[in-house]
Order: sequence, then structure tokens, then C-alpha cells
Amino acid sequence: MSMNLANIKVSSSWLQYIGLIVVTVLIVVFTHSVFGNVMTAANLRVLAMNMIFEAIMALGMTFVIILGGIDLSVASVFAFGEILVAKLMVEVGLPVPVATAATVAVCALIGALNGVMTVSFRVHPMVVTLGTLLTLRGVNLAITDGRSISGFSDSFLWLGQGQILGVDFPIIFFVVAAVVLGLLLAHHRFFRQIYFIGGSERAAKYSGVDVARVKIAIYALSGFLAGCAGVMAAAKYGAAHWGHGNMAELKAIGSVAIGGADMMGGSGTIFGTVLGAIFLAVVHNAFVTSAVNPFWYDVVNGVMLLIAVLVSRVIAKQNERKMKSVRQQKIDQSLQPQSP
Amino acid sequence: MNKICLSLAAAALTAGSLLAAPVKAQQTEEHYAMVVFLKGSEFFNWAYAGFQDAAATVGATTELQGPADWDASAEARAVDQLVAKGVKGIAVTAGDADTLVGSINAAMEAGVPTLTFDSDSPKSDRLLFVGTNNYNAGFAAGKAVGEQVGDDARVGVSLIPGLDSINHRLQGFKEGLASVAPGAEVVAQVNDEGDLQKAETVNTAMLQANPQINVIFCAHGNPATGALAATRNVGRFDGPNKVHVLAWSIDVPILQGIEDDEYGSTVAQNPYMMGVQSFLQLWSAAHPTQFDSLTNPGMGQVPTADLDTGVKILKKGDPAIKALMTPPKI
Repeated sequence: MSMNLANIKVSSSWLQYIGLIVVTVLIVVFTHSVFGNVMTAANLRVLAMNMIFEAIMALGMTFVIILGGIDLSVASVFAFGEILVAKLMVEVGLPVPVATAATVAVCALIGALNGVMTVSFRVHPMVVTLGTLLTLRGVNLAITDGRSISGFSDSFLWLGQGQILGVDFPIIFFVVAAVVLGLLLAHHRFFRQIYFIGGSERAAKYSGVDVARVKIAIYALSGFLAGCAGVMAAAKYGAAHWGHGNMAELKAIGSVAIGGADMMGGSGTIFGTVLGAIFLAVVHNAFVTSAVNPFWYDVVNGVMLLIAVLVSRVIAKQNERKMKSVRQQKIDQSLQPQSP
Repeated sequence: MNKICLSLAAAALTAGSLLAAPVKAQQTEEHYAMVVFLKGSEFFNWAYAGFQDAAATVGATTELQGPADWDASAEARAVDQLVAKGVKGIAVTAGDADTLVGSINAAMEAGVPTLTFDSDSPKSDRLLFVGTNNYNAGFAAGKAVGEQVGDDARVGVSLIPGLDSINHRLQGFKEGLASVAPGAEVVAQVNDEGDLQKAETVNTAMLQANPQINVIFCAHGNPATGALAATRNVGRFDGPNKVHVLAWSIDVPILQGIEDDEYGSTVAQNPYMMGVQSFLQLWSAAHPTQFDSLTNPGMGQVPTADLDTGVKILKKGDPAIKALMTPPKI
């Protein structure tokens, strides 16, 4: 019976993925056939780089959302990462590897602090991470006086502008991170626990899962990835600025939601998030290619997000209903009198 | 679920075909783009209207791109996308001077004429900067105050310290004031941090500590409403001791305030002309004549010096106020 349940869940998820892939391909084919200039190497590179930093943040956000949480602070951690690595190199004079390692470590620590506050004070993660978002935004402004920091070494710029076999380094970082994290999420015991916690935190706790430890680790992972994205963005633009990545948290959350994760927790995959990020990048690219009034872009993004959330809720409800009916059948069977 | 997927696909196709129809016609025309860091702001709507109108005179088409939340990195990405798309020229206002350097340089290297307007990125390879010369604008403002109030002018300045643009405005203001009213002086400066409420607080304190102040010069767009509220707070909103508030904005509420005698005057930049001139320079760069540009081989003739679009000091009854009070729709 458990085999049947697994089949039901997998098939629903794959239907959603196939739908997303079909729509994405249709948009690409349609905009290319009507407007041209879409399937060119230059445009595909721009298309990929356009969402890459939000996509990296979305990887961490996937874990947080499966856990039943949310991390609104990623965009300000991203900008803080940019500014910190810039200050450590330009003002303190640290070498690139040391400044980069210190920055991602501090960003991971900020993420862990989000987790600690959520666990220790039992405050909703939306409130905690909103507080961190606002605090860090203020810190970013205050420590830069609203100015950007530039003047980086070529070895640092390589992290954002360098290429390996003709592919930009941030894209390679994203692919490697997505594969590694996707495999861990699918197969590693520690990461499998987050589905359990997201499905029912109380049940997970009673089953002996160390919920607090898992939560702190996942928020630290989210902060770490936002920090990595920030470092690469500073290298890509050759400048660190408090305004970079404004509202990026919404695009990261949007990628996860469009990728089919249940915003209530308990379901979602890295593959879905990657599809969601590609979809948002393609929609944005279609707007630029078609020269449609960009004022409508946010409307389309918002509507897509709403549709994605509603579809994932419909699927979750369907699964719930099917599970209930299977459970009921099992109860009915057990209540039937046994034949002698 | 199948139905949902099919509906999504159908919706995307329908929306695409609706959007595509008017745009397909543009494929054969020359297409130019403007990139801003605050999409939807009245100021940039004026600039884009000028850009569009100038393009219409030569049968070119335009588009507006950029974020709505002052994210210069999003502007850089927009520039990259427009280059990949193959536009004929790009006018960009830099939300952050350093962040745009890479993308502007890449655009120029790809042969797409790119210039900055309103906010410059001087370290980049941009063709030129089209916008307000801050020193000249400050000089005009100072001269106007000197002519209106004379040697008795005692000026308090509301500003954000440390910004080059504001430093140049203030320097120009002081020299413009001294050119017509040598007895006038700037007696105090306050940091409004670009925030309306903060502007009210610090300007109130400034007026209380310096009762001789009879002019507040707002050296940027944000503090004017706060400064006006400060004059109310100290009872000098009207009457014989009224403080003359000189704004730096063409927002409709400020213009209405001038017509209602609340503000003394305002420094009106000319974003519409920034748009017009930006397009004309890009057009010229995209159409080489018999001789290439000396500075940008392969492109047409464009000056390399900054192009000052100037300002006008608007006072009550100026016919320009009426025109500016009906902002363009994009």
C-alpha cells in the first residue's frame, strides 16, 4: 500500500514539472519565432545570468520552505555579503580567499542566528527573518554611507566574470550546488528529516528528530548560499552596493513556489526550484525581447506565483484526500469479520 | 492536473500572441532603449516621454526597462539583455555609478552606442553624459534667491552630506548668491538623510537655533515637504516672517504648493529634454557619416563633453508649471 501512495505523489509532482517545462519551452519557441534573438548564444547567456543569484538563493530557500519556514532575509544577507567581502578586501586588505571565506562564514552565522531565534523564542520565521531583513538593510546603508565600494583585484572579479569552458563561473556554481544539494535532499538521512518536520513538526519531535538542530542548520545553509551569491555578485558587477538584490527574496520564494513546493511545508524538490528559476528567467527575457511595457512584468510574475501556490495547494489537498481514502479503506478492511 | 497544465500553456500562448501583434511591426524599424533605476517615477516618465517623442520624429521605436526599486544590478542586467537583443542604442541613468561600468563597457565593446543621462557613470566608456550640471543648477538657484531676497538673505540648507552631486550644487548656490547679493550668507546646514520626517525634525531644529534664517534651500528632491512643515512648526509658514522654501523638484504637489504660495520657488530640471537629447545623441552615434567619430571609431559624431540640459527656477505664475502639472503617461 505504501508503494501506491509513493506512486500517487511522484506522478502528481512530475505532472507539475512537465506542465512547467512545456509552458517554458512554449514561451521560448513562441518569442523566438515571433521576435527572434532568443535562441542566440548571447541571449541564452544573458538569460541564465539574469536570475542566477536569485536562483542560488532559491536553492537554500527550497530547504527552508520544505521545513515549513520562510527566509525573508536572504536579499539583505546577499547585499551584506557583497559589502562585507568588499570591505574586507578593499579596506582591511585581506587576500581574496580569506575575505571570501570569512564573508560566507559570517553570512552562514546570520542564517544560523535566524534559526536560533526561531527555535529559542518560538517566533514565526516570517517575523524573525523580516526583522533580520530590515536590520541588515539598515546596517548595509550605515556602513557604506549609501555609496558603493569598488576597486577589486582581477582574481576576485573572476568569481563573477570568469568562465570555465565558456560557461560563467556563477552558472557552474549554481549547477554544482543544485546537483549536490538535490542529491543530499533526496538521499541523505539528515536532509530527508526536513520533509518529516515540514509535514508535522510535532510528529517529527516525538519520533526523536532533533528539530532545533535541523532548523538551525537549514537556516545557516540559506544564509551561506545568500552569502555565496553576494560574493559572486560583487565580483560580477565589480562593485558592492546596498541596493543590489532588492526584493530578491521574492524571486527566490517565487522560484520555489513555481517549482511546486508546498508553501505550508513538507514537499518540494531542488529540481522543481531549478525549473521555477528557469521559468522566471524565461518570462523576464520574453518581456525584454517582446518590448512589452515592463510595467506589466511584476503583474505577470505575481499572477504566476499565485497560480503556482494555488496549484501546489490543490495537489497537496488531492494527495491528502487520497491518503485519507486509503487509510479509511485499511480501517474498513481491518474491521471486517475474519473468515474462519 | 493535465487540465491545469493545458490551461497554463493556453494562457501563456494567448497572452503572447496578444502582446506580439503590435510589436511585430517594430521588427523592421530601428529600436532604442532607455534603462532607469526607478521605473514608474514621474521624473523618469518625463525622460522616457522625451525619448519616445524624439524617436517618433525619425520613425524609430523605443522601450523602457529597469527595476522599480533602485537596484543598480538589475539595471546592469537590463543593459546586458538589451545588447543581446540587438537594440541600436541605450540611454541609461546609473542607479550606482560603479555597478554599471561593466555592462556599459560591454555594450560599447559590442558596438551598441550607450550613454548615461541624469545620473552618470563617469568611470565607464559611455559616449557622454546628458543631464543637469549640478554646479550650474546650484548657481542659478543661488542667483535667483539673491535677486528675490537680496543682501538680507540668510540661508539654511537641507542636504545629504558627502554626495558629490550635492556638494557641487551647494558650491554653485553659494557662488550664485554671492554674484548678485554679496551681503547674503549661508548660515547653517542640516542632514535630512533623504527622509521626509527627518527633514521636518532637523529643519525645525535649525529654524529654532537660527531665527535669522529666512530661506531654506533644499539641495535635493526629498526634503522640501519636510522643510515646509518645519516652517509651520515654528510659526513662520506665512506672515511677515515667512521663510522662503526653495525646493528641488518638479513633483506635482510641490508645483501646486508654489501656485498656492506655500513654497517660494523650485529648481526645475528638464527630464523631458534629457530624454530628447539622449535619443538624438544615440541616433547620431548609430548613423556614422562620411567620417567616423574620433573617439568611438565605427560610430557617428557625438560630443564627448557632458551635455547640460539646464534648469529653470519656477516661481508662482510661471506658465511652465501648468505644463509640468500634467505628467506624461507611459
